[in-house]
Amino acid sequence: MTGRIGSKSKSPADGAAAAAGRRSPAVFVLLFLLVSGCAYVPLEPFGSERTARTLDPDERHLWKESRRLQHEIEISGLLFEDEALDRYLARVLERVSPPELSTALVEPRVRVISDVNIHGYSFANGMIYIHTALLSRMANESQLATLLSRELAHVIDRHALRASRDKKAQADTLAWIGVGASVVQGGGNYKLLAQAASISSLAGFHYLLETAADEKGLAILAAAGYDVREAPKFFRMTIDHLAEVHSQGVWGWAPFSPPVQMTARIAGYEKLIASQYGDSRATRRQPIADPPAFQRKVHRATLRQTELELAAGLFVSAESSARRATESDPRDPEALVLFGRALVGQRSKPLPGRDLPSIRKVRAAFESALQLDPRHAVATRELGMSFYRKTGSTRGRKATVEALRRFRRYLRIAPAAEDADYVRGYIAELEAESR
Amino acid sequence: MKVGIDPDRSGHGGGIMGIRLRAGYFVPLLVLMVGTACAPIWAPIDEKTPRPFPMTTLEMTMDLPTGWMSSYYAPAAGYFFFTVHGSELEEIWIRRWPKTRIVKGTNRNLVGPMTIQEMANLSIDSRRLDDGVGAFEVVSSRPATLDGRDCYRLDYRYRNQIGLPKRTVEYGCPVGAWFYRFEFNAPRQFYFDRRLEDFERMTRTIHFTTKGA
Repeated sequence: MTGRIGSKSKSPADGAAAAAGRRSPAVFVLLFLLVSGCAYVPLEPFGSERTARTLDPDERHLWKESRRLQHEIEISGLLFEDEALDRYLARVLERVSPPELSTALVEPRVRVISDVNIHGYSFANGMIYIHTALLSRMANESQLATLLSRELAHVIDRHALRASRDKKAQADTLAWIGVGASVVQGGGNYKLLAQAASISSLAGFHYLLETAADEKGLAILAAAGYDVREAPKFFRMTIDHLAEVHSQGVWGWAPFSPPVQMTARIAGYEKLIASQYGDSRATRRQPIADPPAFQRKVHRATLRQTELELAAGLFVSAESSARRATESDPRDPEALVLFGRALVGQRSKPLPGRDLPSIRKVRAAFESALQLDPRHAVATRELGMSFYRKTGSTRGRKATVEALRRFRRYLRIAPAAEDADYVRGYIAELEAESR
Repeated sequence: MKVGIDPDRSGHGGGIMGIRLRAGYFVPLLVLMVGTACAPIWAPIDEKTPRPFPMTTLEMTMDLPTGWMSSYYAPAAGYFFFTVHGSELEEIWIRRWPKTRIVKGTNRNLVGPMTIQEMANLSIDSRRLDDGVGAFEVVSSRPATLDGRDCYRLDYRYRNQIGLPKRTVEYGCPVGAWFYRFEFNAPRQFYFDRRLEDFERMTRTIHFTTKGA
């Protein structure tokens, strides 16, 4: 080989080769550093060889930290309490859980957190949290299974541990979530999220780990008999949701995953599905709940999400959530009341390029709720408020009479309501006006 | 005894800009600087505290609660903060902000025709979405009057990030272009009941001097 270090060659060609040779160790070192910096050496996954009883010392610490944070979440009152929903989620989780998890004595669990931001994430010990925002936007059980399968892939391959060992990745993660927390406008439990981000999949792992989770998650999903074609639809929904939030004037909102990365993930999923799961129909099984039944199971979570969106001033999102709730349970007056409140919110905060809902439509929502439950206190009050609020410069005689009638009825239905004093004030004002 | 500049060592090699501290003075000075910068400085509220107390940065006056401590630096930042045993056990916050400002987390402000109840509801929405607020529950929401102005009085309970049950009473008052908020917050057990009357008594002495309102 020419150009070795120490070559005595004097020809120009030999000189160039010699120079290249002198550079070669540096180049190799540089290449090695680059490659080793980018490469992720996979950890031994959970299974018969690696179990919850054979955790590495730093992994034990990670599990302990995870349990501490989970305890904080559970005592802080942030969990969304719905026993029937919890039982259903546990059944879906059980169906997608691959046997190597039980072999490894890892017991995955799933709980729902009341939070207006779309997120779902797992901890090293198999605990998965789904925000009401994400759950309420899922179209069917296959989409729920997509999320759970992917998080289980992170757990099985011990990605949280892998990321925690990569100090730089961890620092980047914390820096990212720190920025997100500082600019967020949309509310939400960001201190908690920031803590969770440091030791869970919340802020996302290195792209190689995420890609590995995509592949493994899809395999788990397919093995459980779910329709893998729902996976890209689920991820596309998160991009659409972010666009919807932005359209309402809220920009500092931490996304489930940045749209660029999510678009790449969707492309990756579609490629995988086309190449490996073209004939997955044969292995597909019936879901535990068909799409209408799934919507009924997440109905209460959807109502909670609507309330949170109303609180966050996301009235278009709230309308969309409330509409889904009216579809999942057309007999629930609560869904109609929230729908009406979402329309009221849009009237109070008009968005450019979007038609203002008519007052007639607002009243129709509350009247529909009262048809289902004539003694629904909030629907009665809100209908009264729709007449009390001036739609022009003055309040008409008919509106005054209607408002008075509804407010008086509200106080008869709920004399001890927390806001009864305000309503008495409105009545006094309207009575003085009508004299 | 020389403190600070050491003329004998000034000039070339004499430290930053020719100023060099003797080690004997440097350490206590450093401790003082770090200490005053990091630790809150509390001013006790006692019989010597003026009544009513002029709160010029907030354009209002009121009688401060005797026996409490006032954060010395808070007024410079545009708010007042009082406690007896520390913020975890009881705290009073007095703040104001322009009505045009977006209320944290709600994507809305207080501009436009709003009833007092709607303003209270906006505060409830903000708290419901706030960091570390779980199991949020409104005890009561009712109209109130402070210094003859229409305000709201909110009473709500929640659990903080470590699960501690807390309770807050809050008054909110639109005054001209500003929105004022008076807030008392304490653990539900013992501390809330123990100090609530101090707060209520204080709010009864409020007088707004806001320009243009």
